[in-house]
Amino acid sequence: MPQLTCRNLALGYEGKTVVADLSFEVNTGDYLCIVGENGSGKSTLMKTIVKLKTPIMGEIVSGDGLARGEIGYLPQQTVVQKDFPASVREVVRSGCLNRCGLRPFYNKAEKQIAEDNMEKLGIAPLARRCYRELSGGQQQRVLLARALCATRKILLLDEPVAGLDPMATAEMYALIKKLNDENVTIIMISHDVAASVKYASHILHIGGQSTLFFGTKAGYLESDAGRIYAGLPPQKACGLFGDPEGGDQDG
Amino acid sequence: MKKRIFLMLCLICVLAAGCSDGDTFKAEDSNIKETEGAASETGNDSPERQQSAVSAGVGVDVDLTALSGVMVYAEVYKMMVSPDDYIGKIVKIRGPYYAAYYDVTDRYYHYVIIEDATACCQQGLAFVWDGDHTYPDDYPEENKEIEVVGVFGSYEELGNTYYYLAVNELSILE
Amino acid sequence: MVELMDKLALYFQYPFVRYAMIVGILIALCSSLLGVTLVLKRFSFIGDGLSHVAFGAMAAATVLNLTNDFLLVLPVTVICAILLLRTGQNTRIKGDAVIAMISVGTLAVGYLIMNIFSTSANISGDVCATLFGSTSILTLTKTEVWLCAVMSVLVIAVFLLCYHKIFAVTFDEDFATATGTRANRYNLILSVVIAVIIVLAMNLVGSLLISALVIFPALSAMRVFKSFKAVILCSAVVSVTCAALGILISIVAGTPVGSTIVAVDIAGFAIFSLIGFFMRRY
Repeated sequence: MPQLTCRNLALGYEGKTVVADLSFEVNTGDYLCIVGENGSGKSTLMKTIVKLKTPIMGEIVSGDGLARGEIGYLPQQTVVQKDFPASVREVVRSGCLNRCGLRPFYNKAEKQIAEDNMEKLGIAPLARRCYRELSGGQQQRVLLARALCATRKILLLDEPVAGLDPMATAEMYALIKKLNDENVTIIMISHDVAASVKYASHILHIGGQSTLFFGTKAGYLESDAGRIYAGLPPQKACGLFGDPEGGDQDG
Repeated sequence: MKKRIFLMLCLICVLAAGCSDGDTFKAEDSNIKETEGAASETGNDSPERQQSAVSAGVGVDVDLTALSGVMVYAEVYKMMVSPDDYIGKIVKIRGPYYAAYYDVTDRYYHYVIIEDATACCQQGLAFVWDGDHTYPDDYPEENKEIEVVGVFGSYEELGNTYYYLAVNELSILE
Repeated sequence: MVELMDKLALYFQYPFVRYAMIVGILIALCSSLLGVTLVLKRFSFIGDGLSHVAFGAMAAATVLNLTNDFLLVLPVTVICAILLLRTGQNTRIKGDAVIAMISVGTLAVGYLIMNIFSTSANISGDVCATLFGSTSILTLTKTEVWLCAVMSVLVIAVFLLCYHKIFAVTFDEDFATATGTRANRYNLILSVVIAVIIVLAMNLVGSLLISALVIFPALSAMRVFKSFKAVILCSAVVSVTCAALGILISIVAGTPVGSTIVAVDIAGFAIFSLIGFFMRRY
């Protein structure tokens, strides 16, 4: 049974429908990249999946033992966070909050999970450092570690490499790929079509209020939409550095 | 609650007293002395002891001149809120002098003004100067800084209880 | 120096001085804890806004001749706090504009009501006392002290129990919601707690100066410390120290209590900024 199924979703904000009749499914271990132009509804879709927004129509069904809150989410960074006085350890541990329920403090197991995830992402030496003093790439890794604390099953990443330099970008993609190899499902929004096409197993391309394509990577490269996108390498080289503003707000 | 008490204080301040007719004043004066006498019979020290103690300059129970402005205001406020704790105590206080006339009773009332730190709130502590003093001749000019020592007491007038200091020592400071 | 100690010993014999210290310290502690969250959520001026609402409610209570104005002031302030903090990200009018509207509006209407329906002989005195908290902390009754103490203890308990949730919701509300934390519930708790603290703090420093009590300790701590826990602890210590010092200085020197506390807070902020500056250099 697929881990996540979306049926006939219609999404929008402020009364405007951005995407209609969207249907797709994600199986455990998939690496799905959601691509599309600015304003096509990518972020809205992701926010709907994590239940921050409600769809105008349609439903989202989770299966394969996925409970609410067992979703690791990496949203785009806010201005507040960049200047927040918190140690890396505190930020990563906050990912374990959903396991606490009403319990006010973290137990030993949860603290250990946080330590393990920091090790895994190579940020253990930064544990006591202040979050706001880290570089963009390091901050993203901290947030990724936090997302991993919330779950080991599925990660939703909203433009994880936005605003990162090329080396940090490459490191990030490598990390995400490594996680995917450990059977963590990845759903990622990206402007970087070249990278998406390189790493993903499935592509969802939305735009113009409809689904332009959903399917495997191979199928994408053969489709009209895919060929138009992938067939302009010089222009899409910009995609390697991400969107100049560091990601759009509404997708 | 606080608002009500402050309202009462302001009413006391606003109530002006009689005229400079000495006779009326003396009649009221004896009335006050009777109340004071009655109070002393209920267990406080006799007025004579208090008077002599005051003139001897010893035994000041509440010395407001030793406190900072903020504390004085707070202490006087407390005196107004729980006056029974202070009845019979000897109080020494310093502040500007103020007199007000109230035509209903045809009397002058005399006050020492206490301001709080921002000077936007004021309280007046009424006092009655014992002995043969007429207003305005024997009394200081308005707003002159004075220091008084007296016994805290209460009297009834027009159906209300008022609190005041029975003063027999008034010095004008410069 | 000995003379000063003698003077202080004399002052502390007065019960209202002891009450003032107890209440002042408790309120300063509570405001500093919440101050960190408010500053980080960019709601620094909410203290001001809510205190003006409380002022307006107090004016209405006076006019309606309620025996205990707490009964009206607290619920009204809580409701406004909830409305203000909920407007968050999803409204047409953004947070700071809403706070400004409510803040100025309630202050003006409150003063208007007091003037039109006045029962007091000295309105500007009443208003001044409420706005600047002149000596209201030195004129507390025992009941009021107990009330303040109980509410402060409750606030601190709530804060400790919800500490991690508050951190998560402040740092990243989206993530917290996505992973199953009911962010709305904790925002609600925060709103109620903030309203309670503001109403209590009006006694200490008056409406106009409450923001200082909330902001300065938090900002001072953030100059120097790097982890959330350290910032919270430092903010609490700074706030309590400055409040205690402020009260002591004001009763000895005869200066207004509220303004003195804020002045000491400012001095504290200056000191911490210097420390932070030198720490970064070396």
